[in-house]
Amino acid sequence: MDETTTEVAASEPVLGAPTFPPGTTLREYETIFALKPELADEAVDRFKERVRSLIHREQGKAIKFTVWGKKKTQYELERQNRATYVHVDYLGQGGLVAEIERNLRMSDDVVRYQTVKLGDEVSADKPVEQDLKLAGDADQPERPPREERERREEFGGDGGGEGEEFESA
Amino acid sequence: MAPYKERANREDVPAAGGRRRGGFGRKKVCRFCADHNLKIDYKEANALKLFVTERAKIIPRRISGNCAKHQREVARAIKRARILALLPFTVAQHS
Repeated sequence: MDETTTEVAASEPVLGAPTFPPGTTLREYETIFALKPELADEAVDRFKERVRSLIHREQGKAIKFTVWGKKKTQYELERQNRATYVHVDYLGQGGLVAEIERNLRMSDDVVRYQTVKLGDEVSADKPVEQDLKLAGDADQPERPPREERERREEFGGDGGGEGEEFESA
Repeated sequence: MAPYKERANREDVPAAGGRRRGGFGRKKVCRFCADHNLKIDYKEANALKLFVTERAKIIPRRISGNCAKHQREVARAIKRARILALLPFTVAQHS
């Protein structure tokens, strides 16, 4: 895969975002979801926009999207050791979380998601921040398989004369 | 005898309650109480690794020195990070 830096971010700011009367307070949530690693950058962006329109449709306000990039996972998710993480910060009511999670659950590209409440009475005027895209730690070379590592270490160390015991057997 | 005295007079040992169990060890201070700028965040897996053993178990507060409140927060953050696969639940051991 070659790097194609697509500068899609934040060119279309708050399209279709609902407006709130002054003094409205909403709850603030953050959702992190992990997407399958084989998803291309454009597909991730498309997914991001889908979530954004979903938030706006459900009378919420998307504050910030951060794509963490492809990261190594600490255990296998759907038989893969990598995933593309996306972090969403948004305002809304409780029903919005249920709707977002329902959509994430139904998507085959999502391997993990988790929502955390950040605040209870957050003003709906909270400014929208620009989307971020981080590099991730993806394409680091894998460690060589175990046998190969051991063989290398063998060459480094001294023989130590242990072989004689085996000869007599 | 002399080394013992020196130890008791060390500056980093707090004057009151500094010695426990007959003079062994130093009173541990909760690092989150000592430095309020330190934040516990489940998204920062590298920071949480300090509170997890090699086998990925949560380190008890009798070892880490955290106060009860912050230990609860650390434990919650570790559990959240585990769900997102930012931290492992367990580490397989090679025989």
